[in-house]
Amino acid sequence: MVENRGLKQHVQVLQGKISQLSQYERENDELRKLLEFREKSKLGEILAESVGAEVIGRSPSNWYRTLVIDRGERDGLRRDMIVVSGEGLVGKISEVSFATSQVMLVLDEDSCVSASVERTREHGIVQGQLSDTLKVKYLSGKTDAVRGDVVRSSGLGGVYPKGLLIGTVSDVERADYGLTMSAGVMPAVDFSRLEHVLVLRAR
Amino acid sequence: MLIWIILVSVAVFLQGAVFSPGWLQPWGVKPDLVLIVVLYAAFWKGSSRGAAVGFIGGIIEDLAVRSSGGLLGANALAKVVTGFLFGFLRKRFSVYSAGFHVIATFLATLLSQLIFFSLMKVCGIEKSLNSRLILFGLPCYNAVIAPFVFPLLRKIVKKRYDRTKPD
Repeated sequence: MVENRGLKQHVQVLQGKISQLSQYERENDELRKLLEFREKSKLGEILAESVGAEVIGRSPSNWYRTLVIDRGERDGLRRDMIVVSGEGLVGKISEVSFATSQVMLVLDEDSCVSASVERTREHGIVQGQLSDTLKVKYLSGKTDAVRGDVVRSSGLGGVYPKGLLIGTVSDVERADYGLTMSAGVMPAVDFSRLEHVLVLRAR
Repeated sequence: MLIWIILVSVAVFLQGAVFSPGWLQPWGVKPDLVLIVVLYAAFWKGSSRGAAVGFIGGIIEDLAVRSSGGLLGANALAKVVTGFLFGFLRKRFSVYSAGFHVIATFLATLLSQLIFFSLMKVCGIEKSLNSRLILFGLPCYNAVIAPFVFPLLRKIVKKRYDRTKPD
C-alpha cells in the first residue's frame, strides 16, 4: 500500500518532468529556428545588430494586434525597429519603455508593409485585417499571382528591410472598382505560438 | 469590491494569454470576458454595481497592452454605460434564464462595441476593414459563452467572497 502510494507520487513527479522537457523542446526548436534564420538570411549586417527578446504579453483587445517583449530602451530599442522570428516578419516596435516594448504585429489593421510577390516581382502593400490573415493590395489589374506564391517585404519606403518573408498567397480577387487586384496572404509566422523574436536594430 | 477587481483582472489576462490560439478565435475574434463580468455584476447586483465594475474593468483593459489605441477611458466609458443600462433589466427579466443570458449578452456586447467604435471615430481613429466582424462576431461569441461563464462567476462570487450578501 505504502509502496503503491510512493510509486504514484513518483509517476506524478515524472509526468511533471516530461511536461517540462517538452516545453524546453519547443523553446529549443524556436531558438534554433531563430539561429538558422540569423545564419542563413541574406540580411547580413542588419541581423548581426539584432537583439533576441521574449514575448511577455499580448493585447487583450480585438481592435489591436500587439505583443509586449522584454526588451526596451535600456537594450537600445527604438520605435519603428523591425521584429522578426525564425519564420518571418512579425511586425515593428510601436512603443518603447525602459524595460519593455510593444510590437505592432503585421496583423494589425494599422500595419502596412511594402511587399512584392516573389515569383512575379509585382509590388503591393500588405495590410493587416484584424484577423489571422493579411491582404496584399494594389497589385496590377493583370496580375498572374496565384495561390502559393511567396510574398516578401520589398524594402520600398525604408521601414522594412528587403526580403523578409511575410507569407504565401491564399487567394486573388479583384479589388474595388476593378482597377487593381488584391490577394489574401497566409502569414508565415504562427503568431499564437510566438515566444521568442529578434529585433533588428539597424536597417 | 476586491472580488470584482480580481475577476476583471483575470478576465483581461485570459483574453490576452489564453485566447490567443487561432481555434479559440473564430472570425479572428476573442471574447470580451471583461464585459461578461460587468454584465454579471449588472444582472445580479444592479445598475450601480454594473457601472462601477464596468469602469474598473474598462480602465484595466485600457491600461493593458494598447487595447484602446491611446484613447484612455474609451473601454471604460463603453462598459460603464453598458453595465449601467443593462443593470435595469434585472427587475424585468429572470436573470437565471439561459435565454435571457444569450440575448442580453448579445445586445450588451453590440452596444458596448458600438460605443467604443463611435468614440474611436469621433477621435479620428479610423477602423474600417474588418470592423463588421468585431461588431457582429464578438456579440455572437460572447452570447454563446455567457451561459457557461455566468454560473461559474456565480459560484466564485457567492461561495468564496460574498457569503453574507444575498443576490
